[in-house]
Amino acid sequence: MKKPKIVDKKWLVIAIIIVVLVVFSLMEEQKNVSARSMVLAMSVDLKDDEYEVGIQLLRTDIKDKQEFITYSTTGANLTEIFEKLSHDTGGTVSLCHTLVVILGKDLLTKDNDKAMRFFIENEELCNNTMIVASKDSPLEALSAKLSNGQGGGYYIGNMLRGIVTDLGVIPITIKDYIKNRYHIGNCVYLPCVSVEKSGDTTYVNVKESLVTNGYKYAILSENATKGLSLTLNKLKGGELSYDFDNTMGRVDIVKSSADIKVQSDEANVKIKAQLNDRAYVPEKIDEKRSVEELQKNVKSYVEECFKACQEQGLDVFYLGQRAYAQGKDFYEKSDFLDNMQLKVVVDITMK
Amino acid sequence: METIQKHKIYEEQFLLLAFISIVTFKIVMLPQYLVASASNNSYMVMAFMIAIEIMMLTVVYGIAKNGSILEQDIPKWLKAVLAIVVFVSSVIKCTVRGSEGVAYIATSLYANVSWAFVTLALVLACIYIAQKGGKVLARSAQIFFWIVAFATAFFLIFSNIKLDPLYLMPFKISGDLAIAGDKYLMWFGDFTPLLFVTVTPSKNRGKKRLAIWTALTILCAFLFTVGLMLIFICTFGNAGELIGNAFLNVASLNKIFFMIGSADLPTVLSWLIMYVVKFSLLLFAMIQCAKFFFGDKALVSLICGVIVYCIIVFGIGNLKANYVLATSWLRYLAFFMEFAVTATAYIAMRVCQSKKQKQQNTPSESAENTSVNPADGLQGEI
Repeated sequence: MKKPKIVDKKWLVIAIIIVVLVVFSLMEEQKNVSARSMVLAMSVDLKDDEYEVGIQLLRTDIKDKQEFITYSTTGANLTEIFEKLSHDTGGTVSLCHTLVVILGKDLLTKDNDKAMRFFIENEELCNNTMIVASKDSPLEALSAKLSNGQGGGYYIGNMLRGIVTDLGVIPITIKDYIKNRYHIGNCVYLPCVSVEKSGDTTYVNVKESLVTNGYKYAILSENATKGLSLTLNKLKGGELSYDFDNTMGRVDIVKSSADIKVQSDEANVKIKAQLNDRAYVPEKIDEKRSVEELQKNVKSYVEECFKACQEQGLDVFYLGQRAYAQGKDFYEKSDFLDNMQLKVVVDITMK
Repeated sequence: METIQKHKIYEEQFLLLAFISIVTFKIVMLPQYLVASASNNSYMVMAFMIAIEIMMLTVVYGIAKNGSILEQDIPKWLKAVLAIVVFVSSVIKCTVRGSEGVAYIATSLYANVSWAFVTLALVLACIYIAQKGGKVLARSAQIFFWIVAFATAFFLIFSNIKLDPLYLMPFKISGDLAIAGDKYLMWFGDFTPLLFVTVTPSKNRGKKRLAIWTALTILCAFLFTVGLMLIFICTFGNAGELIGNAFLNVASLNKIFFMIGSADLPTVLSWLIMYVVKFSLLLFAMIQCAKFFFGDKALVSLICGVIVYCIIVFGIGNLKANYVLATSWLRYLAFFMEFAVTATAYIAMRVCQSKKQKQQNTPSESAENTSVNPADGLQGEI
């Protein structure tokens, strides 16, 4: 008599494998997605040698309404903190969908990257999670309730995606952060968030940048931030402005590129940009004059950025790394950055 | 005869298995370790070792073309010695390298699932494929290959890598490269499992086609290993020493992430299937060696699986222990055994072939002499 196919040896083996796996997976304590607290945004800071961590979640159980809830706690150890937060939220805290992490200045300058290493080595965050610095308390920025009903953290996370073109600020992922940290000079630059209140309305502002080497930091103004973005080849769109006879002209950036060459006492930055004047051109100004104004402005942005960082000993243009790549060792001198002269050449063409 | 049929594979399938053999374990943790040891020039270590591996695989091909080493006309005692050595080497590779995949699945793919369950699932599935023989293994690789091809195409379309060639500079050949190459020997030289298959020419396919496939395989092996190392260094610089699971971190589909969220499934899947084939290949070598002594029984395969399971779960148990073991003196043993077996098997095969040829020639020559001058023979007899 012919055996039915199901008892054929091959199927038997497959059936055993399935049974074993299903039985064992049932025995293993696995958290269902609904039993997880999906973090959308997070803030981390140092307060009196303890971490202060805030997480922002979206409540989905209210019909036709989005409610962002922020939980926060403090502790000496991040693992313990997340356990506490899991307890508070009623679900295992999951960071894999976190859009943004807002870091406090103290964490960036006093923690020696312990918290950041925790996130990277444990692969807690997605590689594309954005990192921003906060001018004030990061928890305040995270929990800010905006007029559109969104939570501050969630709003920042979404806003950061198009930030280069709109504001001239370079968005930084956790990948970029750690990569820059390993450069000679250990300098990292991050968009800097500030919260402003006007009556009942709360604004979140991300136009500045914070540069730090893990000990010292400098906050770059909006213009210096644009200078940084242009020099590091990150500004491929957005607008530049100039003043002429008390009126302001605006041009769109079509494309831009930068080249940095470093010698023992001199760094040469050459910025080449193609702009178009469709945005706004004041009357009584010719193209040559507007180009001159723009060249002057861009040069001053770059110089402002370099000077602000040089004063704090921050090698924001990675001159040390560039010297190392050329096989030179003058970057090892302690006064290498102090004696560095910056020469900026801006070449603008109008389209 | 049935055994030979069971392990008979086509040339293209051999190339595919060789590709998987070279690539699988070199794209997970190795880039991180190499960058930590030899920083921005560590891709040279990878390139050098891959070149050696490819050269050795051509020797393996030369052997496998004449049949599995256990089926060849070499002394039985030598076969036994080779079987013992390959068994030991495969146990080391299977457990130490296999743990890397277990660690990846248990900690990165899932949120800290127990090693025991992951290992159980893998060992059960891979032992089954390995027990079925070289032919099934090669066919599985051939079917799975399309997932790798699809994932690669997906990666090329949706990845958004910002490479900075500055990280590769300065180009410097230093002692660090030799130190890195020495320390991570365990990750190189995985070719003995392919000594147990019999390679046959593909049907209706010319030599030109085989040459093209061979060139493509070599190119792809370099692209997937050295190319990945270059991308890894250009993406992370020296921070690469903190970044585990290189293939996943390099191949994350950023464009999709910014549109709909993280979508790394094709990349993960493509590596997982390569891992299953590679792990099965190592188990296959173990099983073949064990069967040489204990006969062609399913129980032998099961015991091999139990040995691997016990070592991975109870002996190793976590990635740190695995790293310590992989960089211990065991690496010299495993590496030496891989080379020694291949070289010995090739020499033995050639010696036996020439002896056989001589033996075949000798009786025919004497027969010729006899027929040319039968009178001489008669005289002799007289």
